[in-house]
Amino acid sequence: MSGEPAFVAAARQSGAAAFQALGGLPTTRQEAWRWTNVQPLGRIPFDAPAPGGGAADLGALQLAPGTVRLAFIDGRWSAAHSSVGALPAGVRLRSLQQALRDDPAAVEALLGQVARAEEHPFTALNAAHLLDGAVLEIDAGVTAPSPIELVFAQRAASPATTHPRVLIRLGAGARAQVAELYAALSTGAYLTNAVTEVSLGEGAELEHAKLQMEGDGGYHVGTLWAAQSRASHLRSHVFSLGALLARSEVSARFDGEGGRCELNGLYVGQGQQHLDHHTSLDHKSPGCTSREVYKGILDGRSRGVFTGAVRVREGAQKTDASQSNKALLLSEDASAEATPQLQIFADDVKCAHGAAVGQLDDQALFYLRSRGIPLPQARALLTRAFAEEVVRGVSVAPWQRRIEAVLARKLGGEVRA
Amino acid sequence: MTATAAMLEIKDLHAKVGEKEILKGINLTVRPGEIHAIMGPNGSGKSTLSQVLAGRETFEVTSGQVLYQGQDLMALSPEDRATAGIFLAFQYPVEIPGVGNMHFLRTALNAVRRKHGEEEVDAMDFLSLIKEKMKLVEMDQAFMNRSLNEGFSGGEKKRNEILQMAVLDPKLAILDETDSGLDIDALRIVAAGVNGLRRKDRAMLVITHYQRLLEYIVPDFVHVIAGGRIVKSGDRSLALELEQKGYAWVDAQVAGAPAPGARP
Amino acid sequence: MSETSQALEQLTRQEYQAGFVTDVESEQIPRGLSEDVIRLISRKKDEPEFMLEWRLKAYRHWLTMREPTWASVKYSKIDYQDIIYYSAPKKRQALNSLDEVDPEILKTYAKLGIPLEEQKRLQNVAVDAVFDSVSVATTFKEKLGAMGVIFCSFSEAVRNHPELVKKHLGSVVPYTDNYFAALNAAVFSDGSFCFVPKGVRCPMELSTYFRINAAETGQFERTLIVAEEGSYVSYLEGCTAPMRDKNQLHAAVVELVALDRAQIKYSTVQNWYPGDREGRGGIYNFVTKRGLCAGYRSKISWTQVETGSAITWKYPSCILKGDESVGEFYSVAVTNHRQQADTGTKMIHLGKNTRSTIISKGISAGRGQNTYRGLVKVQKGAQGARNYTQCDSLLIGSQCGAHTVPYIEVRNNTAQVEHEASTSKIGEDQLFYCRSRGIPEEDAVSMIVNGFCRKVFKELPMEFAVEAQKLLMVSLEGSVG
Repeated sequence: MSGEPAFVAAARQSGAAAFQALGGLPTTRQEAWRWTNVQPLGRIPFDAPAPGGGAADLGALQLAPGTVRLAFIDGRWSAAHSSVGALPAGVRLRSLQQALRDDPAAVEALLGQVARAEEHPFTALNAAHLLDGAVLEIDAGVTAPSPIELVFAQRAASPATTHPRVLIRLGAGARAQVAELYAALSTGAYLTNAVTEVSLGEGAELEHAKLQMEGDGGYHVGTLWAAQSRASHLRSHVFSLGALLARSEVSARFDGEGGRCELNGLYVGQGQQHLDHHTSLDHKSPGCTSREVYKGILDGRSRGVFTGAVRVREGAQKTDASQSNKALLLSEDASAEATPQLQIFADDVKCAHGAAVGQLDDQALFYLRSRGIPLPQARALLTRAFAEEVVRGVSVAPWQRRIEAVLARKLGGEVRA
Repeated sequence: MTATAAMLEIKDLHAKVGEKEILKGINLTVRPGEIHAIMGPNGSGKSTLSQVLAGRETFEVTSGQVLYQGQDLMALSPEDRATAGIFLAFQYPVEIPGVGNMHFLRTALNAVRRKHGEEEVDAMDFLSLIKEKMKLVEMDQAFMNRSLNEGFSGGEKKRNEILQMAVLDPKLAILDETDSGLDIDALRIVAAGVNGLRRKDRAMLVITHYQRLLEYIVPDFVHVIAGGRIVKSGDRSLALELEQKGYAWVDAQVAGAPAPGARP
Repeated sequence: MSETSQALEQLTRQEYQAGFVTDVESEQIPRGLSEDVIRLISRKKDEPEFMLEWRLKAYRHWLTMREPTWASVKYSKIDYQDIIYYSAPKKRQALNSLDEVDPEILKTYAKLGIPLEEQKRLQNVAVDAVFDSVSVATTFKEKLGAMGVIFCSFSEAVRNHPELVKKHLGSVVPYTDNYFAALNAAVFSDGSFCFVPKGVRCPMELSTYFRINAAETGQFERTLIVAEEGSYVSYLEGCTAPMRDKNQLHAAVVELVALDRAQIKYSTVQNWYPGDREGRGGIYNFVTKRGLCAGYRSKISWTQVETGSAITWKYPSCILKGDESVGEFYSVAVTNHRQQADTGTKMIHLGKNTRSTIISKGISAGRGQNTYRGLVKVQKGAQGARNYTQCDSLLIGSQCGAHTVPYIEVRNNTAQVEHEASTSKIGEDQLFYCRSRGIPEEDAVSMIVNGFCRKVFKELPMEFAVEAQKLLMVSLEGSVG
């Protein structure tokens, strides 16, 4: 691409090489992909959708006006659907292409710094096909206007892949709330292969939500890489509600003491959906706290997979890590897999995990029915209640409302105000 | 006063944790049969004092001396202090899952007996011994079968401490904020238990923040500790004065030279 | 060094007690593995044709397999041609009476606390003593025989009860199952066989003590226990070996079959030589143990205390095929110095309303690496399956590791599967509390560790619970370097 800085081409090249070295698309013989067969993804061309196609109508997404937002149609930034306005000093939000033109050095400083393409085939693939995405920088001590939305909408006119790369850097003491929304405008087949790199400075706080609401024919692989400095705080939410097959990964690392990380996730599967979640927490430094709560609701013939790896390295004393995964199976043909893993090399630590798979509580159901609530409604109520814990963890009201609306559609039950 | 030998003599005790000095020169003498109350605001060093006396190694004694029955207490390990007759009722008794209450207490009792060359108690005899003592703190058999303090309420934990005291029969009992977190009923039971254990040859140090406990366990002497030193001593009326005027009154009184804490 | 480390340093300085060698003449075959070696083994044991055929089939299959690798366990490559596959104490008789057993061997077992002589034997326990690859004595055979209970060495069972062996051998662990199972099927030496007929409640504990004595041999024993309808048997397996420089391989296979309403309780107190502080020598313990709850309301419980061996790799499992069958797994695994353990269980729920309970307690000290690897699998037809798993790790010292890797796979929505895991160390607070009550440090640590393992020790037959506790403390010796 002409006018592009050299490091971008270099990144694409090493990405392609890494993808080859890793053997291309993973197979189920590899431990990390044991439950998820990604061969169908191989049938979708990895190239970007052709540009053009007229104006897209994002009305169905009900994007609230006035929110700071970058929107991407088929992986390319769309000025028409974005609304950034005047940002306060110390906050820079640009599309990747824009940032490469205006401030390539800033991009070079961030690109590939946290994500490890050499370890992960989809991250490598994303690097190989770098095109567009977003770059958000918040300077030290600055609190960004809230919330910030990145919307990735697919026309899904024909099978193609987008590889958005989102780079987020918060300086010391900076704060922000960022959501990535993935949705489709049709039920066609396509693949989203997104990579987000987050770098938190000392004492910075980021709340990050991924709202995966891809189309019924879509495939989604989204990987979040985070590096946390001393005393920083990351709250990550992953809502896996759409796509035929989705794999969401969050990989966070404590580079300094006293950090805090909360990873929350909710996956709701119906029909033939296959929703796979993989978290990896690296307690490299002492005195850090991590909390994970992932919940799944599986109906129809869907399958939910959760693998949570927590690693406490030697010397990471006073680590406090807890992880919980609960899956609710609503139908005969639904299934769930859970593999919470602890690898502990330090002794003065508090680490616990719990996993449970089950069904709605009989007694609770009976209680509701004894109060006159018909069975289907009672089930819906309890199922929604199960999901609530995770939804309530989101502190941005518009995000909560959006999630609730999708849950209402998928699970029935009331939409809470 | 008759010249009864002191059970405990604390002379100019200084202690620190990490780099921070908490006890800055404690002076105190306790004779058998006496009950001394130690009151002070948070951070005054009262809990530190009890932990140092029990031998908690996180605290380092930097200077001063503590004589227990005429011997250098600091030279003894925690278990040796225990078998020598010192009992600390903890403010926050710890839980040890899988270790039965009964088993724990019997092991402790036998450690004391071994030290004194007495015969150890077997499970059957221990059961009868303990049934009696349990009445003292209104605890029932069911507790004894559970794991040490596991799932106990605050009140139950404190009662368990007093039960242990009853069984281990110490010479010097240190009650560290035994009343904290207790409602009136629990307080009444705990205090009754403690009062039931008063003896001519036993001394007690009752450490508390509030005057309330001292209504039930009436002390012979009251000492106020602030900033790591005993700043005022008196009889039980001092406690009442403190309750009315608050700790700020003490600070005002003390601004300048610390009052001597030792008895004449 | 913290309080805790000092206490443990003091506590843990004893030597491995069972490390002595017995001076006895052995008959051995040349080292190496081939079809000829297998024929030789089969001939020495006087086996019927079917047995040799089975061994050879297994061997040929083994040749096509590849040794598995697990990320968490590291060991130097095993040279299968450098092992002696058969070693038996020379005075091999029909062994009708203990008088015919080499007195040195009798002394060995006495030294280990398992006296075989009439006057001194454990009253409520029938013992099958297996010395190197050969069963040297079985006590109480007649008394048990009178009730229809067959308890004898595997070799004897092959000769005297071939129909029973043929029927069940390989029915739970076929030789195709895994690499070490195939190797075992080819070269297994001896082991125990137990058959309990319908409705019989075995009146005493049955146990086998495996003792590896000869150097550079591998121990490949095979145990088969069959409990017919409505029967009950409690079986204990004990193991020890001398201290040596080179690693020795122990690849055993245990198959349990429980029919309708039958119950098998299988306990192991494993004290193989763990290797020295630097990790030299020590037994490689690669074992396949599996129980088939074939019948309605059948029940199989595995209880293990693993304190020895350089490397432990075993997953006693239950296949819950019968409706309302129950599988249980209670385990204490200790790794100290440079031991590595990758152990756990597999509970496979197939029938309706099946239940499984897993309680795993791992204690890591020194540079030990302890991994719990478990699988709870609920298949589609397993209506109403219930599982509860609790994995706790206790870390002693800052250089060891404790890892938990449970796999939960649920294909039936009426199942309830719950898993909890936690990791902790011996708290300073807990230690101080005990000490402040006059209990010396060593005893306090012992008390706390035992408290930690209590749920598991409770499941051991009484006679062995005490031994297990002692073993636990011995194995924690030297836990801080």
